[in-house]
Amino acid sequence: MLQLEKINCTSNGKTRLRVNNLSTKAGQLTGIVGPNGAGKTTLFNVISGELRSNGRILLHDAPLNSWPALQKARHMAVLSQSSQIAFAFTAHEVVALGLTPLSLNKRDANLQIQTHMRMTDCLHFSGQNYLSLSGGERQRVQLARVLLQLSQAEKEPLLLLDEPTSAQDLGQQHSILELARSLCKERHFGILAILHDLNQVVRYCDHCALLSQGTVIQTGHPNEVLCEDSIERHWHYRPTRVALNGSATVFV
Amino acid sequence: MRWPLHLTLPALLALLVASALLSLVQGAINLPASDGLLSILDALFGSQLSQLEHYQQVIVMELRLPRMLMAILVGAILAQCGAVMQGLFRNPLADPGIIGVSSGAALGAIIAIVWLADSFGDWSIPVSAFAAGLATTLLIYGLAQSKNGTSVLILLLAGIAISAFAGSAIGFISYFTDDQKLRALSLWQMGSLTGATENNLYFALATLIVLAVMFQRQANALNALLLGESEARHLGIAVEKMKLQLIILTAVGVGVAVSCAGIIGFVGLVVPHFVRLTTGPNHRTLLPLSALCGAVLMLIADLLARTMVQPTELPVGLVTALLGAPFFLALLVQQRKHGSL
Repeated sequence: MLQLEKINCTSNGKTRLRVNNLSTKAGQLTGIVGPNGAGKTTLFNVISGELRSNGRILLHDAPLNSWPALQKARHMAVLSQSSQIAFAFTAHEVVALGLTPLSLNKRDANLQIQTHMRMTDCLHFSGQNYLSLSGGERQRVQLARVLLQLSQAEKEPLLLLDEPTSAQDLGQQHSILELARSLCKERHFGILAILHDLNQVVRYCDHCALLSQGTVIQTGHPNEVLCEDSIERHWHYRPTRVALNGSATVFV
Repeated sequence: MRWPLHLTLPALLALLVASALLSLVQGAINLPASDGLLSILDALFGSQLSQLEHYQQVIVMELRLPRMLMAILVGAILAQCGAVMQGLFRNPLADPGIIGVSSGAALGAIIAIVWLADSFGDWSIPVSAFAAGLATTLLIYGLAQSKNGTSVLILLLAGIAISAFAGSAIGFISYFTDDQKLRALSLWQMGSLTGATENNLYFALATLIVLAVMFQRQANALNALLLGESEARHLGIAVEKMKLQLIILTAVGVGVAVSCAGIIGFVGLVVPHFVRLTTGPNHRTLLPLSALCGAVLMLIADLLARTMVQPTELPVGLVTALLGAPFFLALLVQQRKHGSL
């Protein structure tokens, strides 16, 4: 559903991102990994159109910049790291901003808001001031907002998650990744998720892209991409791979 | 805890009607409330219902009525422009007066009053005020906007610098103008509703209607913009186009308000903030309620201006500043507590 071909993004004469070929299919959860400053967020900015680049970005085989703005918003959403809002909205109102590109009547809209807040486990504080919530709670409210934004997509939607678990406790980290996986499997989302915890990538993602110094170095199944050698090369730390019962392995 | 909309709206409407009526009958000469109302009916339908003397009717119809209508229009325009500017800058401290847009517009208007009005006619004043207000808004927006959002510090400092520049330029112009124009200029700089004429009123009414309609159409987009510009773009909003449109519209609003009533500060700051506190920050309700509340505040301020030091009267801008400045300080303290300054 998403294809990037020969992407080259420069600013001030310096190459910030180079991607020869990267694609993701509907129903696939792709982990974007790489050390700090590797260009992961830049990749998201290029895909979402925030940064200009040479090359082709296709969503459902049509160049992304040829999509009408509202159509594009219904099919592609970004959960960014920042979760600020200027005034004292309630959590419910922040989620409701996801309705912006949609056309729903009031009753359906309320129903959808509640469904999505329940999905990300934030319905119980829906009436609270968003600014009084913790970082993790805000992140889940924003996740509900972007999921609501994609709820009326006619084709399989693309979701970009920039460190969706960074502010979450252990239990919430796993329930968010479980949710991401079930969205891929049951509703055929294509999801790209920037993740720092490589164990989560191995456990939840079907596919993985490794970035380093602004270049996509390797793509493939997480077990192939994330081996001890490549981790040591790019993160300057050699982990130990521990086999658990069955085929699962973890890095420590 | 927010106030429910179905109570706030009728309450504000009732307050508007009450304060409008009060401003018709209160003043240097107090008139019975019922007669004030009846004399308007008389004027509209040619009836003979009111018991007022002829000179009292003249006071109501030719002095107080235009002034009351102007207070409503200017209050509503300024409050809406304040609400939109705060949304646009994503900051509750943005106010046309504080960030220097009113001063810029005032400079434009004064240039027109002194040099252009004689040769180009009355229209040159609002047009010039609008042009100068627009230039100021664009300048401030360019200065304060950065990749990380709007810098409050630059916003306020730029406001000080622009107000100082406009103030000295106005002083310079005043220095070379004749005595008769000087008095008009200085009164006008303090904000005054005495200049309400039929033409002015139609002009302000048309502006208010256009602004209210255009702003309301952008209410959802303004809500989305509060998440940040990138987020708004991801939600399908044409952010650059919308920003430009709203900047031009607020400059029109401030330009018209300034050319009709001079510099009236703090209405655009106090009103939206109060509305946000009571009924929430959603622009769909914030914008119309701000217009209503701004009209009420302006009516009350004008009433105070006319009745506080009888038999003379104060410029209404002094009253709004008197009410608004402590409020602004309180807002600053609150912002500091929340760590947003």
